[in-house]
Amino acid sequence: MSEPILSFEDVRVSFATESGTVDAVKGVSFDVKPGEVVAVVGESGSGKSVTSSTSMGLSAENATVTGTVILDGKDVTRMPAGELRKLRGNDISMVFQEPMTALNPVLKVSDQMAEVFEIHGRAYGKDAVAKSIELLEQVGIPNAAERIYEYPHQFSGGQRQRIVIAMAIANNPKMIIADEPTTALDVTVQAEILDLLRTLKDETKAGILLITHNMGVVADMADRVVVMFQGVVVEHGPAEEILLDPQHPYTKRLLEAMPRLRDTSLTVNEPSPVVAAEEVAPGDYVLEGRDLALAYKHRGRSKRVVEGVNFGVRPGEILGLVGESGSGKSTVAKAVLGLLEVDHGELLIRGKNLPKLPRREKKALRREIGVVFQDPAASLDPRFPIGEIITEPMVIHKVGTPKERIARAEELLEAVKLPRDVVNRFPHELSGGQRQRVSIARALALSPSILIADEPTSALDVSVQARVLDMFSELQEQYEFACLFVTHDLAVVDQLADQIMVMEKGRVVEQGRKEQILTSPREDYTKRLLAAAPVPDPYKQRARREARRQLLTAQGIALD
Amino acid sequence: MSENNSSDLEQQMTDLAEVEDAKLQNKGRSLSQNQLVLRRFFSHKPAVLSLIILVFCAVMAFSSLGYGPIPGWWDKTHTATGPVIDGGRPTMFQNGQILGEHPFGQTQMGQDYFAQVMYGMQQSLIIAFVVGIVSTIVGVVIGALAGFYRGWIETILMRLTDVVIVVPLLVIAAVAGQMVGGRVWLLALVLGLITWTGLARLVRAEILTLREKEYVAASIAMGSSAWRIILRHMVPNSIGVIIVNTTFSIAAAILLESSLSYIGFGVRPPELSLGFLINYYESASSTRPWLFWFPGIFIVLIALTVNFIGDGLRDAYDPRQKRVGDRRPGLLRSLGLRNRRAEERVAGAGNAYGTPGTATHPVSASEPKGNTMRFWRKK
Amino acid sequence: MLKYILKRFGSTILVLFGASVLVFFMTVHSGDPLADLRESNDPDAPYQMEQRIRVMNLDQPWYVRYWGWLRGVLGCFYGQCDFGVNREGQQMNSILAGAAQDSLRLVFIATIASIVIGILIGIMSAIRQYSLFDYSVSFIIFLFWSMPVFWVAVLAKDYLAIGYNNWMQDGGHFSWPQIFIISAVLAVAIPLVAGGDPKRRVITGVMTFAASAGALWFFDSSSFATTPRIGGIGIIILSLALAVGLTALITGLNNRNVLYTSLMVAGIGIVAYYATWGLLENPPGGWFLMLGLFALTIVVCVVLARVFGGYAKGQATAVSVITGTLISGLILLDHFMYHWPELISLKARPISTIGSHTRRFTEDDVTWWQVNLDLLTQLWVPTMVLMITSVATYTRYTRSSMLEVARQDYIRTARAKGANERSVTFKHAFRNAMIPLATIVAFDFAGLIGGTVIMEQVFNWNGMGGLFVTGLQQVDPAPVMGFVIVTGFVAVMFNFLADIAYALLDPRIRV
Repeated sequence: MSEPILSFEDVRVSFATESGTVDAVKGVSFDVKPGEVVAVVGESGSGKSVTSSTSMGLSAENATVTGTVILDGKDVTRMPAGELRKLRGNDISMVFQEPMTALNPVLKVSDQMAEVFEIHGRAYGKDAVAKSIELLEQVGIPNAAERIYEYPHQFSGGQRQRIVIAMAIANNPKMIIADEPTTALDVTVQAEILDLLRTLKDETKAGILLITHNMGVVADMADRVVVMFQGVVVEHGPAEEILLDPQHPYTKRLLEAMPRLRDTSLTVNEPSPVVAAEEVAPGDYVLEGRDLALAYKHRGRSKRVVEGVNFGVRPGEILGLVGESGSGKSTVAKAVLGLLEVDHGELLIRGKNLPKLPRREKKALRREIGVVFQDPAASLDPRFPIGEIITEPMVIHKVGTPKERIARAEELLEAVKLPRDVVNRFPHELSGGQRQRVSIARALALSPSILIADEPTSALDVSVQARVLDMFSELQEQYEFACLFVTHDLAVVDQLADQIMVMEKGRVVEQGRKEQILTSPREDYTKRLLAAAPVPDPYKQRARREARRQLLTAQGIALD
Repeated sequence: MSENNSSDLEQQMTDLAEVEDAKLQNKGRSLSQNQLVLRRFFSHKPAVLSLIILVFCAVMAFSSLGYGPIPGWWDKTHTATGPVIDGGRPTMFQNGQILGEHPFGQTQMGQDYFAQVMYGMQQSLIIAFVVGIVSTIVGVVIGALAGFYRGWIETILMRLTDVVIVVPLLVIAAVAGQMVGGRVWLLALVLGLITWTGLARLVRAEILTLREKEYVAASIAMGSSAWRIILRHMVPNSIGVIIVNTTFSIAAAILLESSLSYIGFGVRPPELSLGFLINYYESASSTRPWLFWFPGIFIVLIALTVNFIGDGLRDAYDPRQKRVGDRRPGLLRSLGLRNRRAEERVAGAGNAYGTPGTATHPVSASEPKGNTMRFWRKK
Repeated sequence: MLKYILKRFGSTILVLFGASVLVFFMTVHSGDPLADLRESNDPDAPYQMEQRIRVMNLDQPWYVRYWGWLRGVLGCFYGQCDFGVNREGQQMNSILAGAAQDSLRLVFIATIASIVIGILIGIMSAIRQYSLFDYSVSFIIFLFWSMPVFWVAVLAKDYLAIGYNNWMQDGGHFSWPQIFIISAVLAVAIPLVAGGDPKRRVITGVMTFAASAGALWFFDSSSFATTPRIGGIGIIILSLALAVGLTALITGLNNRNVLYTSLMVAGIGIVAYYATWGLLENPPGGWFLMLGLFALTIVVCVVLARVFGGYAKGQATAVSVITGTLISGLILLDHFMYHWPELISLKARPISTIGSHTRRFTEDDVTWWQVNLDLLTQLWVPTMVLMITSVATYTRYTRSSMLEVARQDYIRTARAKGANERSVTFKHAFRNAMIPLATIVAFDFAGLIGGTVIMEQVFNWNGMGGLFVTGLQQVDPAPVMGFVIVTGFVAVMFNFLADIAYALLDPRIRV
């Protein structure tokens, strides 16, 4: 094959931090050839993003870089700042993770797009804007000629990512670095952005360095894969080999850890048999919502975000509540937790309508509900030692003596497989996964009969997530709580849930038994959702991609 | 799956969760937030030096003259007159003595100026600290209530803040000072009661952010009372903002008091304060400059040290703004005559300003990139 | 958006009304308005007392008195302002008008200058974070925040103003040690701000030293302090330098459209300098003419930029307007300099430490230039002292705001596009960093008004501050309320402007 366009040779990066020097990348070498997609895969602390940013000369201020990075025959690490700037945005460009913040909020999109051409002297003024409009059309922004004069906040997340991509390809770069380009996006949007990247790759012949933690994305895009762990490359090779026949134990673990979605039939017109809803006596539900409508109040005006939601969770059962951002799934969880008033309908816990209960009974009923939230950084009070965090529910409900509480805390820590002496530690000493385990321990402190889990693993790394999920099912068997599990990830639901409820834009699209929803979904939206989730097998993924294309065509949704 | 896990544990570490758990096992002593803050504060040299100077000034002011019935070590009082020696010039560091008879000189009437300055400093410090404490208490209570309950308390707070935009603080303070007529403790109380709006606004903003935190949501979901949430979660977590701004408000109070005393609506005879001394001896500034210089220098010294302590506390509570990594740069580097590291410059980060990735949160200080944040979804 | 701003405007007006009730109540209850007469031995005292009770309506309850005052002020809405009478029975309207002029001039100049200087230093300090310059700036900010303004003012009056007068009286000459020290300080300071690698810094330092020593020597030998001039040649050189320099700073010299536009502006400025010389010699209409000419300049600049800006109209407009403004300033400065020797001949010690202007100067016997030159001469020391807190505040907030913005993702995006540091700083970071500053302006403005009260005490001005202080001492509400309502209304207007600026800066809050 041809000469590599970008190569890393023994790159090392260390950071000076408050607690001393940290080696983030410890001698990494690999290369990318023109027209090739190389995926760098790894979890937090693997150094994958740090490595890639050296090729742009955009390392953090407290970073020390050694080794060489060669871009198109030129050594980037030893280049004066001025020359480096000529490369950036011209020969090499970047797509970032967070589209919501990657664009300057006070400048019109036209200004920001035209700048790319003007900096490198490709076009100026009106010409640059005209070229930008062309680009925006190319990346699938409808009505580009008008919308280009709007500000970034007037675009949706997916559209902003398209704009960032348009800027990245503007000057036909030889190399594009995509740093977790789809991580912040919903699955369906992710699939669209990946489609776009694939089309562009074929059109531009640029090499793409794709940084990701998602093996599904790797299977969907990559020609070759580099697996990194703790600053070292543990394995690299062609995508098929790595994904289907991994050699290194870490890669194996990583693939194992990835929650998998069962195979689904996504045919469109085949009428699936309508299964009569199982008749359940109302008293059987431990948690039930009847015709729920929820609203956010802002400056005296209230805006309905959830409407007409009916659901029920039986004892010891897990209901997976699935949806994309803005679907209202977390809002439902909030309402059950009493963080939001119920606008209309009934919310029954053990047959009692929670919002209508007198204060004292309400509080007593709260004992029955445990909660685990999404963000491990914010779900534990940083000023409390772990012991106090876990015993907080007991303190609130005046259960036990201080001694008994601590004993219970230690017991629970063991249940979540953390050492007992963690009771005296503080949240900042724990990693994200450990904090989520503490969260679970706190939720179980009063042995509740209902657990509300709001995206408890979506902020975690794949292998950490796997561990937390395993633990979660174990604990569920042990404590037999009913659970409302809110998530955006269908694969997680597949692993955990008994029942599934799919939500979109504040309404329930489809609900029923897991097997039925995942294997033979009835609604178009559910099908699209299932089709969009990538699987870590290049061959299967290719087939799924084709299936998705057919599905969308059949549903009459235009493709780019 | 769980069987797999336990067998994996025996193998070499190939799992991020294991690496993390191993790190947790190896960790040394735990430090609470307060301990971390203290440690950071004491490594902030200007702040520690300021603290020493401030404590020294306060000890000197109160021990020299004593306070109330407690006698001090200085043998003169701020009222007693005496013969004017050597035109009343300061004797400090003159003729081989450290203090001498009248270290800060004498007034036209032969009063010992050291005693007057020390007495004025006592009053100024009392006012500054009482104002700081009163305004903090009122500010925290109102700010917390406004942030937690919103509604009419919030509206009132915002309107009161607008009052400060429309009518300068000094003007309101002057009118209030005229009303209380120069009584030190009353003046301090009244000034405290009109300077709390700033802190209340900050506390409110802080509480509003904390409301969104998941640990607060979790606590509400568990059924805690509003009191518990405010007192156990919200106020302790805004303690950084509170302490830092209390410090700054003390510095502001000492300046406000002296300005008021200068235009005649603050401390009045027979009491005196540093600002009053400046006003009183302003006309003497060309003939007996020491009468003018000493109180001024002490005002600047107190305000400056308090401000530096506040700055040190802010760095300690919120290390985001502070540089992390290697120590403060040496003289040559500050002068720009030596580069940080050659390789770093060629890596394109030669300009210290705003290169990305310098943000370091207390949580992630030990991790190079704040890893837990990397896979955040939305919001 | 407009609705929101108007609502805010309305609510601050209401707040002003509430504050006026509060201040009135507190003032009326702060003491005995007859105190001086009760202690007086004057046999006429009882009569005077009676008269004062009648003038001030002391026999009425406070709210009746307030209502009487408010009715007069509300008259402003239909053109019949009446701010009441003070205890001597004098009409406040005329007293306030005179006083407001002096005070507001001081506050406005101090506000504008603080914002400009503070933002500039703040940006430089942020760009050179952790340099000696940055550390010095941080220290000076804290020092400025810790200094009692009145004390500094007295020092400035006694040492700076009087020292300057002495120096001027002695002919205004530099000695060699003075030249050496000033040059040495500049030679250290300027490379710190300019940056670059060590070699470049040393070269800059040496060049700075040589240039400043040369310039000071030139000033000294040409008696610049007593007979200053920029002169035709100076105007030509400086105008061209401004045009080129500003272009280089804002867009870079390779943007020819902008460069040519700004050079054209400079050319027109030079022509205008000669063309208007005769007209400005004795300006009909005074400041109105100046304002008119300035407005014309801006219009010309904008039109030029629109016509010749090519693809970079926006940047061309910015550069040409700034160039035009600065050249206008230079021309004005040259005229003032031209008239300086006349002022010196009238007044050998130019700064009077008492009062806001020299009373014997009226436009009848001296020229417009001398009257205004005298005003400015009296103004600069108090303005400088008044500014110290504000400059420190703006510098600090600009610095931290710039550093905060510099951490944002879009700054990284801009760098990834290949944008240079100038464009990253001015195009991407600056506007975002200004957004939080808009809210500070309103608070700072109030602080400056408080500061004028002190400044007028120190420099013995008969401004609003003086009215307030004597009014309050005499428990006379009319002057106190006059101060509160006039300054409060100006503050409300300023707040209104800040809100508009906020909305202009941040498209996200525009609806």
